[in-house]
Amino acid sequence: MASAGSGDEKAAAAAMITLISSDNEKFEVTEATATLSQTIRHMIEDGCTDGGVPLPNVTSKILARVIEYCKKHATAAAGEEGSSSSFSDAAFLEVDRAFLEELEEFDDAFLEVDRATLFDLILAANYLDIKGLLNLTCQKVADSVKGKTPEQIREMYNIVNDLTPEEEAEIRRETQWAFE
Amino acid sequence: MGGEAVLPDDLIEQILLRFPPNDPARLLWAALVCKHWCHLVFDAGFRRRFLEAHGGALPMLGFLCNITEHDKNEVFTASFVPTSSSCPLRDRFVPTTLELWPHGRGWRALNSRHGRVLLHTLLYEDMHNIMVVWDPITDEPVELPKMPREPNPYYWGWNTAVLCATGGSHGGCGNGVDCHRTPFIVVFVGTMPRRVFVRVYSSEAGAWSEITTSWSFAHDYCLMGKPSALARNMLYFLSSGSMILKYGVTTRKLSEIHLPAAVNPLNVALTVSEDGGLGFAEVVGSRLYLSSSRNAGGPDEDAGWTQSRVIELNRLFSIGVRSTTPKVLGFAAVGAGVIFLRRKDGVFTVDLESEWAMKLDEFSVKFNINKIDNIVPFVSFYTPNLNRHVYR
Repeated sequence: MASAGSGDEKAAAAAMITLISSDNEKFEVTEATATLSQTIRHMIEDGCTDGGVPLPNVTSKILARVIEYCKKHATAAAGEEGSSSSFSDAAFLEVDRAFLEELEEFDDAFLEVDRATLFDLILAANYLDIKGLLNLTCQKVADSVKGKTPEQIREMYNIVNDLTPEEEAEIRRETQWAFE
Repeated sequence: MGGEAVLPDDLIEQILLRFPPNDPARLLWAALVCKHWCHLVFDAGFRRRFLEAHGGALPMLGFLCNITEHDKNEVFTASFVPTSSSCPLRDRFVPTTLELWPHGRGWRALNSRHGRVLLHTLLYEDMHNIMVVWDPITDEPVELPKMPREPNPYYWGWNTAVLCATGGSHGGCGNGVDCHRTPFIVVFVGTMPRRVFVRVYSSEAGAWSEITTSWSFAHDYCLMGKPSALARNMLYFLSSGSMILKYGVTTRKLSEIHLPAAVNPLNVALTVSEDGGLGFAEVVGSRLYLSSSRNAGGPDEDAGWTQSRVIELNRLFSIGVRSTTPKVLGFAAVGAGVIFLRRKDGVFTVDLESEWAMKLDEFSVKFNINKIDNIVPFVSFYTPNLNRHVYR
């Protein structure tokens, strides 16, 4: 039994991954956390994570946030597998619901960032291929333009209007009903 | 906050894809932000991905309801009714442009498919009838040339169907995603004693074809004016005598299949399942029966009907009138399908996926529902094509 125990410890130790941000900061995370990123999952599968995973597109500030998200959601994923596969008890469902609510609160708080950070998170989520995070952050931006006029959207996101007046007139003509 | 933050171009599509599908104005406002956003919104590939991101089904933007005013010497009207308050087409009534056209007994919506509605006048003098293909999104009616007089297209019951020129197969026009201003065809089926014939109008040719198919049957057909169904490149038209006429859009062959003997075609609507199979919906007593065909597209007459579902309607309508048998007014191929039903107290939609019944309140008050003959749903994407040269 002792040997089995030490084997587990070894496995746990081996399951740590080092992520290296663009400004050379190192982050130790569990494999379960890291593999929420499909990009890192593939690197692990290809066996090229020895000596750490360099992420030249992600700053330490953003990587820290991304890891925070992944840790929380990796626990959630593990929890889901554990409970729904073998139990369908009301008690377990109750726990699930409480946990999902907690997760939602976490996500809401997580999104309380300035726009520059939000965009960086979107870029990182895209580069690291973390579906949940990409969805969360993009949805935040999508929701933010609700009821906003084109002018307001440009202002919010520093976008220069490069449509010619003729083009603008044509779109308005073609889609008149939306502007009435 | 985030003064210099710039949204990365590559990710704008990811954001636009997450706009809600039931708020079309939001996408159009986004198109006015800048060139890049505009290109995305009006790109056909984007539209397909947008639909996929929202479950793949085109939304139902509204429906046309056909009304007969029997007390006014049979005057017919077809009105466009939006199905949600956020529908952009709220005030678009069929004939804003069309009403300028001749008098007579009014307009009928015969069929709607691939973003278009096919309207037909019913005049005192048949041969002066006008057929119009109308795109409610662009509000552009296309008047079709008159059909040749020989053989008389209006001899007996007739029906007609509009569809994208690609036949609506996936990958062609995107099955309604992108059908505005693309070529379309109209299939007209006319009946005479022991004979059925088909003419096809092509928008590219701008003309009716010679008779593509003429078929002598051992018995007489009388087509009903209910909307046709398009399933796996076959058009199906309900006929009297519990028959369905089947026309192959590519094979141009006519044949017939039978409804189950006990079924009265007056009480049914043809349906199309999510996987593209033909079916029909019928109400008997308080139950909605859905049947599907294993073999409708096959060569023989036997469609292989099986009853695929029975829905107890009293369970859905917890309150109100229970005594009368609801009438099936129409079917919309949205998701698993939506059935329009009329009861004494109003018109309802029944969503076949959720089995959720919803009363069309405003509609039921505004219209005399007892005069509604049938309903032709308008299922389409809402972004029009702009002149492509501007947005290259």
